[in-house]
Amino acid sequence: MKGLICISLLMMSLILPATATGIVAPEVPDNVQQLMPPEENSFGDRLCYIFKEALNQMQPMVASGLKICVSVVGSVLIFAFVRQFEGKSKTFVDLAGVLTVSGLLLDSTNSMIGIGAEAVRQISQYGKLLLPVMTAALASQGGSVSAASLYGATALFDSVLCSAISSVLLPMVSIFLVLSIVSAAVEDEFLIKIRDFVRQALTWCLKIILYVFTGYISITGIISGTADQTAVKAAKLTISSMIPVVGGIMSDASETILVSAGLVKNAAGIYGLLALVAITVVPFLKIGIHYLLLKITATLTTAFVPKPLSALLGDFSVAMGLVLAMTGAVCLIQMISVVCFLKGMS
Amino acid sequence: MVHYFQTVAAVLLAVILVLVLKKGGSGIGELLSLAVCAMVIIMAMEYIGPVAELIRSIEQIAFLDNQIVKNLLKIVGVSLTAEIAELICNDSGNQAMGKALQLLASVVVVSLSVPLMTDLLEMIEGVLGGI
Repeated sequence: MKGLICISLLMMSLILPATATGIVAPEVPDNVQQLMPPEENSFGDRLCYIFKEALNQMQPMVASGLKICVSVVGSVLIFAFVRQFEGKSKTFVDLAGVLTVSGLLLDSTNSMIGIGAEAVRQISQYGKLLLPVMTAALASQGGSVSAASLYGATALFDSVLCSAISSVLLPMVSIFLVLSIVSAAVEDEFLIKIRDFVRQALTWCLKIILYVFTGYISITGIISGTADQTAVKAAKLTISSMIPVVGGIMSDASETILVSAGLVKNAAGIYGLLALVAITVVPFLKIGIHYLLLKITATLTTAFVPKPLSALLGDFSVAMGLVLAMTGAVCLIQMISVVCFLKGMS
Repeated sequence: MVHYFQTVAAVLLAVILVLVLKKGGSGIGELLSLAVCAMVIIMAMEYIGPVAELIRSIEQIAFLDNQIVKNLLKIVGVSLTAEIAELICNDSGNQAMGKALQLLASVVVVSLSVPLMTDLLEMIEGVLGGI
């Protein structure tokens, strides 16, 4: 009798609606919401939508960037004219040139560094919400070892990279800029060497973190993926052999459940990928456009500026390149992780 | 350009005249060289006009701060006039006066560049202050 009641209660519980509410990708921040595409489109269409929306926002940014570049080219032209008067004033003319160009570029460069820092913070925060969801989804699909190792690696590298960027690398970019300005103003060899060292250190820090991360992901992907697949196969074999009569049917049903879990995981992962793209695309494009404009300005003015001023313009574009690389690196870590979660147990 | 070639010819003639006058032992040679230098500077001003106009239009197109360019032109003007004056002093055998003029010009140029230095320091403070 008791058994019958228990079976009846269990059967009644089956009529309750069941949804995978725990395995839903977190909502994107409010400021990015307008970039998120409608869900009925394909992945490619949704990516196109995000890029189109982001490019629409770039117009004022391009206009202000062009204005700064015109100012820089104009001031460089004036200094090139004034420099033709040979004499003792040359040092001061060069100093004034460096100061004017730095004054024109510093404001926008500082604001780009701020945009980069904010983007890194937002990507990291979203990653902290998305990765547990992806971990749960992968674990529910049978990839508990992969999920744990992927989550551990991504969380570790993300926190290391974000802390390094906000507390070491971005301040180092500012120090690099100051060293560039001062070395261009006083043309001191020692300062130039320190500036080059800071630039090299920044580049190597980013490269090492990314190399270690991708290496770790590749190794754990191979090892834990195999372990999970073996465990799932063993579980299916156990179910089909241990339970008499219906064992085979239950084993097939478990396969269906795993496939469904995979679908839920893929949906969350694709939304997460799109959200990461939406969070990154605007700051990335802003910094990228600024970087390109600086490169173009540096190329345009190379012919008629003295060497220190030309090096200074190059250094400003290098600084933008570094901020761009930092933003891209954080986004790349998150995206690689999401792709690995999607690939796991597929 | 005709004015330029006329001026070059006049200067060369004046050099010959100054050499002759100096041989005669009169001090009019120095006065003549001073007058010729002044004339050449006035001629140069005529040609500087369009350049100054161009600089002004570049300033407007490029939305540049007027103050730095003004200071810059002052620095160039001071150092060029000081150099010419020093050479005249040297020609007339007054090296001490030439050196004194050079010192004065250097001090004026440094004082004119003080706002530039202050700007540089403020800029560095602004960048490093955000860290």
